[in-house]
Amino acid sequence: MKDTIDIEVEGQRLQLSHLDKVLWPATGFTKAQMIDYYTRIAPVMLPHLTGHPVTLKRYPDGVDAGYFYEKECPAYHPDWVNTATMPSRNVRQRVNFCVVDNAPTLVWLANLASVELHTLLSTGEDLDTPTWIAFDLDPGPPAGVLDSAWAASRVREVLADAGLESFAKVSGSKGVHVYVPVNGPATFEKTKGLAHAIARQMEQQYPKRVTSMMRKDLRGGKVFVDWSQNDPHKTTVAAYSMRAREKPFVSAPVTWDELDEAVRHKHAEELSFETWEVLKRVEDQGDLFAPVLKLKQKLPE
Amino acid sequence: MYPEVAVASLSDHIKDQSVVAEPMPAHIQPMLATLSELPGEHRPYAYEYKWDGIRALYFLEAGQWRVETRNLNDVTVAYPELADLAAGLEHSSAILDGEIVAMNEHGHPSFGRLSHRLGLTEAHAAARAVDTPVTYMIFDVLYLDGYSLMPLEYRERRGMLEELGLSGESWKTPPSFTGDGGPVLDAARENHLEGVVAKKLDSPYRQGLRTKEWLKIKIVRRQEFVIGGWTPLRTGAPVVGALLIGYYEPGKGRDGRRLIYAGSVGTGFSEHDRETLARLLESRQRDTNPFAERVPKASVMFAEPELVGEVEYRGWTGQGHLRQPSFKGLRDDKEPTDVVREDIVKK
Amino acid sequence: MARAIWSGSISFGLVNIPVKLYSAVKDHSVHFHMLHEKDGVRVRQQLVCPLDDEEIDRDEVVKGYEISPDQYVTVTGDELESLTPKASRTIEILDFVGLPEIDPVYYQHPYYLVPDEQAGRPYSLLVAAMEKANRVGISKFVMRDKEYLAALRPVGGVIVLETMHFADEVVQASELEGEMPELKEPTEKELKMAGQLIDMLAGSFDPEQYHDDYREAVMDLVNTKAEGKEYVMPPPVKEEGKVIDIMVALEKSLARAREQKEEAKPSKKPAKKTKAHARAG
Repeated sequence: MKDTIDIEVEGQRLQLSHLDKVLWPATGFTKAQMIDYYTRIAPVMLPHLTGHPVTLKRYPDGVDAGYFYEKECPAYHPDWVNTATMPSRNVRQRVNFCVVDNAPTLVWLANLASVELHTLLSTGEDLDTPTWIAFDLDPGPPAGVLDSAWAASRVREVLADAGLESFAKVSGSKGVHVYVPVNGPATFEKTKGLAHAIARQMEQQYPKRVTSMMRKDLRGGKVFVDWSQNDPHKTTVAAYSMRAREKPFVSAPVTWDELDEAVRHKHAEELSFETWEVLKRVEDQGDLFAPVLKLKQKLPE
Repeated sequence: MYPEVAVASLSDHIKDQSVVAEPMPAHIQPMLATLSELPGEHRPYAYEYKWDGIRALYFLEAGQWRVETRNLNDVTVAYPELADLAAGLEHSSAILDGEIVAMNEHGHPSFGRLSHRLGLTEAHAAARAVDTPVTYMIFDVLYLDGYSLMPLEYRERRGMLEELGLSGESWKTPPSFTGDGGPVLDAARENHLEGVVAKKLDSPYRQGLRTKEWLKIKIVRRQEFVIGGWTPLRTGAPVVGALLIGYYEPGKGRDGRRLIYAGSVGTGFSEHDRETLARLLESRQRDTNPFAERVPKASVMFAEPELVGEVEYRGWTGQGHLRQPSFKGLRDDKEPTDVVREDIVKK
Repeated sequence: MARAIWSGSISFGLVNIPVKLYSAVKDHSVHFHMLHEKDGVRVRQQLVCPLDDEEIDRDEVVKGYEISPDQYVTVTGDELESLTPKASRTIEILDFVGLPEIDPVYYQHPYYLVPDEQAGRPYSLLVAAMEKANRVGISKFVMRDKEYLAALRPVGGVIVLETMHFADEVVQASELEGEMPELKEPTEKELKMAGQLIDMLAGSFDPEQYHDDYREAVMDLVNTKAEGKEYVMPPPVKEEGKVIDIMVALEKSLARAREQKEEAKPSKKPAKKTKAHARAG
């Protein structure tokens, strides 16, 4: 029996399929519910996606059953889905990314079971200019989200010393992301260099708890300050994106106070947000990540 | 349609000595095209439709005609219907270059159909000419009345070819277009041709060479197919080597339709994709073949025909399998039962 | 309404059941008369003797059996008549055998046997007995100068008489030996695949689903003409026709494609602020 439905989003017609498919078996969260979340979060999420080429992580049979990582925007996309081409000398290597700048596109992607949306740090109009600097704080077991939160606050301090304001979101898993809005002239060389320097400084200051080295075998309970994502070809998970974890968690923006409180009280669960919690937060507090789009900051030399 | 430039006749060329009298070559190695993207709009190329058949050179001398293929094989006896072309050529000697094609039941050139005419002896050719007729699509004139035209620019040879006005029951002179090749490629795609050939307007005919003066632009087709099975990359490993794909057609089967096997596709996935696909297909495993016919492959794992994938390909073989298929991703927005063969249905 | 073709009686042992024979099938093929095209008159067939070169009458004709090329033994209608065992209009049951024992290759034509009014009881007794014993009666009878072998079998309370071929009429499969190519034993795999194929098409026997398409097409033609409509014969598509078709189609496509290109030119399209897709997509 077909479980499809025809809908209209902002004047565009779409057909949604397999709505009853359970994508998160642990809780029974369905594709319909995922589409519903993305539809409701769209007004807040779209500004963070607009212009940024996106890669998809599609889980057609649910989060337990394997995923497809897709950079190339599916050729069968409707014509209101916009794309951006990453040039390459080799014609065959040119990639056409999807760009999510309207609600129907977001819904269309959700229908393709794109659980996670990852974006480039630059925009399609100017692929060489990063709009923000990203730090991905990833804990090596047995370190967990609280350790990431603690490390994030330390990164914030270092950045503040350099005169830069920063904003945090949970990764939706065990990590924390720290974003430094730039929104002006900048190069990846510069942002990567700066991020690397900060990561090394963190490592020197807190050798027992922080590492700047990618190798997983060197982490052992430390938090890896990943600076390498500041690269024209790399992507980070977008704010408000769902994650393919056991439960329908979201990479949700948080305040510094929330991070510090959680660390102080050792309440890791305060840093996990499922979809309905995120919708409620947005209703109460608005878009905590809005400054990442607006704030212009000059990078130190 | 053709030129902004007035075309000179053979006598004009003889006068200005742009052609030289020489004995007719016994054989000609055809000029070949390089695979390419469509040239930009303002590049000096002419565009012709690409016909999927066999390359053939037609020789006429002293009332005798013969046809040779690319490998210089004499296949005259296999195409008795081209005899009358000699009569239509009001010249004492000529060499023409073109492509022999056969149309399938949908009215599109089909190499598969043509294959029935290959390698025939005289005895069989006459009978076959009736049930599998062919057409010679002429696109170049290389020699005329004792003069080789090969040193002339393409635009000149083209003009002279059109002057010949060769059009008969079993041969035609298809058009050539200057300007933007884009619409020509679109027209080719819409009519299920292989693609277009771009020929540099000032290019002489270069025997046996594959140069960038002739470019072949192949049309890539794409449509969804239902995945009905797979073969592993390595024995025993849950990693997809190739997917077995098909489409639905009305017929005797469940719900009045049957799943027709369209071939297997083994490229277009990353190693990771191969593992993910294997997992998805294993959870849909079935013992019986979901296709309406036997699948000519070893170690096939069948799956419930629930997954739909997008595949790029360059045409269909005579047996109804895809040519050069490449996997482009899963389509979970498409219902398997809606998957049909598009080049036939969309007429 | 059905008309009995023949009447007689079933006999076995001391039992005698008067019955009438009705055909169990009707011919559905479309029958045409032969008409002279010019004036629509039904033509008649003539018997002509080539030696005398004149038309002859039917009663000037005798039957001749060719015993060797051009050598005949003639037989008259009367002589054949005398051979027919007239008195016996009996369907004599000789044996009762199991139905599956009879290979369907022997069957010819089915008829229904309907009992005369007073023969209802012995008839239904015979039906019940055959059903219980699960057997059919093999019999012989003569109808219209021909002797038939027949199987009497109970079907839903009625006796179906199925005429059968005599043994010497049936060509044994072994006689095809020279014609058959060498048959190899299928492999396990092939057998499995074939089995799957059979499974795919497996179903119960539903005769309703099979249609005589040719007959339907013929009746369609006839009816259309009766309504006075022109029946459009699809022209046989010659190859040249196909080539011309595709060249015309290409011209049209090209014209359309050029038009679309023209339309896309003047106003700058806002939405896609990125590079255009490669055209050959």
